Amino acid sequence: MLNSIITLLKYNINVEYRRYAQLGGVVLFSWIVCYLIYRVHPGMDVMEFGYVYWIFLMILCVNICLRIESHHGSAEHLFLYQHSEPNNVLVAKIVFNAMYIFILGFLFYIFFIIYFSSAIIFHLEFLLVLIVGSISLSASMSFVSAINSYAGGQNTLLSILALPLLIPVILILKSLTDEIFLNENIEYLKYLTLISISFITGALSLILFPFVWKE
Amino acid sequence: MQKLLLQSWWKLLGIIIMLYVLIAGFIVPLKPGVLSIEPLEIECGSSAILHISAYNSHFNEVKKLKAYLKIDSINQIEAADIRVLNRKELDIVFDIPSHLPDTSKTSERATLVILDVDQGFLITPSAIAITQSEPSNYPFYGQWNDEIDSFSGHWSFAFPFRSILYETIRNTFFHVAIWFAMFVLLIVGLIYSVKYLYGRQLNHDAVAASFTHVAVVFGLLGVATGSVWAKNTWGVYWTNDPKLNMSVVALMIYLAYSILRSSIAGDDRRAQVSAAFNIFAFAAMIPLIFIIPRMTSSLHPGNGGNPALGGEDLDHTLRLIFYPAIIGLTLLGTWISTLLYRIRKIQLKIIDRSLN
Repeated sequence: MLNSIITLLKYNINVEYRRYAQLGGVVLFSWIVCYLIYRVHPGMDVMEFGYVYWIFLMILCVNICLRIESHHGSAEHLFLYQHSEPNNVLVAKIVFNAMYIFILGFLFYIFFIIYFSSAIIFHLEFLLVLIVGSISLSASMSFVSAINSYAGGQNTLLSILALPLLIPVILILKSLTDEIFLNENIEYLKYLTLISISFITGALSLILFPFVWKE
Repeated sequence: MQKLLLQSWWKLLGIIIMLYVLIAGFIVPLKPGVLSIEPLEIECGSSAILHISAYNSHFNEVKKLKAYLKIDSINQIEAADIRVLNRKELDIVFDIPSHLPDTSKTSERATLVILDVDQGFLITPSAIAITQSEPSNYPFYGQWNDEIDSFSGHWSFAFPFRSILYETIRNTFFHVAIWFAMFVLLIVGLIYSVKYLYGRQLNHDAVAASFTHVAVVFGLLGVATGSVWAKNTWGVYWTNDPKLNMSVVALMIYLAYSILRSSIAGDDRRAQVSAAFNIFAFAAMIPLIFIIPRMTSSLHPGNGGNPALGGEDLDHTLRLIFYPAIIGLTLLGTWISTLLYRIRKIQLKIIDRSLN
């Protein structure tokens, strides 16, 4: 099973690497947004950073999942159907999406450090939040984006389906970010909540995906 | 006629229960309670006159009135004199002892207890601050040791008087009961979604869809009744409260379910995807509604560790109407859902016939 997941992960990365213009496009997009925020509101403080960062990452996350699902057409579904178990496909997709979200989030964070260097500094613990956050975002998103691709793959539908599921995750991530940047006591229970949310959604996706997968 | 009764006795039961809930819920009066007390702060060693105005009370018709100031279960004093001004107003005279039972404190909050021999207790928790101008380290014995009489009157059928809530306590039968009924309907929908995924019968999916749609309508009604209730108790239609926000997120997820259903072509495909999403949404909703609001403090009952339906919030009189209200609303919801289900079943039949 692990071998199969690793092969699928490599396959996903390979496909994405060949379409590196897509990744470049997303990076450019986040740079433009960051620059726009800088021009509109140069004196942004840490509290506002939490909102802007996570809400933008949530929207970016929807876009990423939509893009990945959209170029995985029905021919590819057939290919994967013959070669692998559905759960392996889903696990590979969750891991891949988490990596993708983490890399983009990290880049976005660096853009913020560059433009708002007086307010936002590099915190190692924020990377931990980003890792846990990207895993839970991806665990909630992957199954829903799979559902969306079966329902026609519209942009608005994915937003409607996924955003309510992401709201609690985003709220917890936002409060964790505030605690880190304001040097308050960090409630480690929040990490546990995030992990348990991603565990629940991940486990459910694994249970339900085989039912949805078969055409 | 007999067959009709056998088939749909529960619909009749639902109507009767809802009629009972509506009539009893609006007609039964509130117990008397204290609306305002003046002054709110009194000093040790003085003789204080408290002016009380009350709600729903009949002080001029009562045979015997008693009043107490209670600091804790041991320390309490009885009123020296009670003057009835009219039906709703009282003057109570307390001779406060020279020191508080805990002499080191500068002030202590006392509960005002008025015992009406006919109607029961009128209790205002932590209503009055008793200040002590000269705290000392010597213990103070005696004088705070009057006993509160037990209430020996008959039990009256009246709803409890709660400050802030007042008459809106009747909304318990609608707001809370609608959420309960919504949960029952959602669980039925969930069960039929699971059944569909295992059995692949379109009928099961139709049942799941009907129940979930009615549950969404109930949820919207729950939000609406809650919002009106909040306006009358907290002063605003909406507050930034975890429980409120999370219930709205849950509603959004289920509204998304309806949109998902309508955007997929093909019966089997739609049934499959929407059943999977229904299960996913339900399981994602449980942490939203039950775990996250309990982790943070909230205005809404049922948060921060305190149960919503325990203790003093729901007394026996409320229970007599609240539990039937849950059953009645669930029955009505089931009835509406079965009607929707029958429409869907006919649609499936028409499609079948046109295909053959």
